[in-house]
Amino acid sequence: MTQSKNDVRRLLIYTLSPAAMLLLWEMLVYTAILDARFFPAPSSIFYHLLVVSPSEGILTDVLYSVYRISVGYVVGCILGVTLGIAMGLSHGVRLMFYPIIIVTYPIPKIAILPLIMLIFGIGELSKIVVVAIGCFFLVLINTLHGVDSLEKIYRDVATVYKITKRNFIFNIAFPRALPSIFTGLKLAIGYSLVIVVAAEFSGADKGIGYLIWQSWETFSIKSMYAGIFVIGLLGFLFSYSLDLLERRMVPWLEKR
Amino acid sequence: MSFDNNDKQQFAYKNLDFSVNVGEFFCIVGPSGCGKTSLLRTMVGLQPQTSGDLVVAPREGGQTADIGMIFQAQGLFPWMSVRRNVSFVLENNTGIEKKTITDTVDDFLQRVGLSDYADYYPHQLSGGMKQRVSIARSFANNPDILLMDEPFVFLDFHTRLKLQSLLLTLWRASQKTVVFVTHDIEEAVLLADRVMVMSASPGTIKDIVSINLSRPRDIFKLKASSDFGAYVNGIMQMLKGELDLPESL
Repeated sequence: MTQSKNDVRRLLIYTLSPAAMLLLWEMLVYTAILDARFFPAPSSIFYHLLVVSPSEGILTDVLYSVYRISVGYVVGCILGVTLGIAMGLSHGVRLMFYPIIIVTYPIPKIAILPLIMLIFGIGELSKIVVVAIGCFFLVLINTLHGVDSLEKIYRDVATVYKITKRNFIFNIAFPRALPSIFTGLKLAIGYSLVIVVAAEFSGADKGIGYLIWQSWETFSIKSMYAGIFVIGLLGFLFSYSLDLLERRMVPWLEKR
Repeated sequence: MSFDNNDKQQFAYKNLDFSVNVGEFFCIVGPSGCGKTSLLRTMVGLQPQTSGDLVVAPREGGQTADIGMIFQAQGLFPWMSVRRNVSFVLENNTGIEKKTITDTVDDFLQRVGLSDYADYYPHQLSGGMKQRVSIARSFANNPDILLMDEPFVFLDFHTRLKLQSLLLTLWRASQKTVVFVTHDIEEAVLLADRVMVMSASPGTIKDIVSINLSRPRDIFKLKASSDFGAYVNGIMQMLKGELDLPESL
């Protein structure tokens, strides 16, 4: 009960800074400091988004992007957590994968999109794969860091009480890494939006990235902004859900 | 149990030959650096033994005796509730029947006075309460031998007295063999049947003192008695040379 009350208050505070930015923007347009042709007032963009965009099929674009993100994100994160824990716990696995990871990690994921399209075709799969790869690295590195920060005392306790290997992985290493894993999950969800939009700029005929690019080419400034706003809203929604999930799953962290 | 451990990193022992009786409360005191903690860690298998013999008598049935340990820093898992911290280790003990775990956990939490805190997380507890959970965990797991590495060193005076008294109660009820390391001479005399006094570099035995004070012990009465004072004083004199103090302050 109090928990959900706290959540509501948190959500209200969360909305403050974006709301302040929109308000400032709105005022700058009304005072003609900003040129409304290039920077339409947020209120008119929201109006466009809610009234005009649906008839232009924005919902389809959003659904396509969300679909690509969701599948890629889930696959990438699961693989990242799994390999991260395996590398954290096994010296052999770490030695085997660490070099390939530090070599491939810094390559901009969007730079390999053409290669991925060569391998996986120009359909949905290549966009999903590029999102998955992006999420994979962020989650992997944070998971590995989480497992690495397992304090020696917990290993000692596990040895003394003869904790089984399985229990050590799932009840000691994993929960200890969970706060760090969540850091990776949050970074990855933002990053997956970046990647999916970039991928849709060039290689898609649906999706928010496609919508933005298309609107720019036809000088439909408000439709372009509608697309940008939707990305912001999605980012907000995803991050907020992850925050909620984190506070449910990591209730033992001392409150910061 | 007797051995002569030689850990190449730091601790070398010399003529370290002693044995602990079954059901005995055995304390080890000595200055920092004499290898008390390493000794315990070697006994429980957390540190390799490079030379010497460490013999643990098997149980009556011939099985290997189980050794538990209570740590200075408790080592409670922060992501598990108090109850879960205890039940988790019991679930990993093949010698404990699954059906009995819930009752055992409740029983031991009640004995250490934490029944009302069973669903709390460790970060919500004070240092003394955390150490109680850790004590409950190790006794509930029912090992044959319990090693304790300065478990009360971080606690304030009052909490320490309470926990010492609690520990004696649990020990008498369980009849376990306890090896308790401390640098607090009073604590050693309060708790022990025998106190082994060590000196540093190389770690060696100065003396093993039998504490002939009757049980059950009332910690508060005992502290005021002259017999207690005499034992403490005697051990203090033995360790005087180790303190490296100027003659007069």
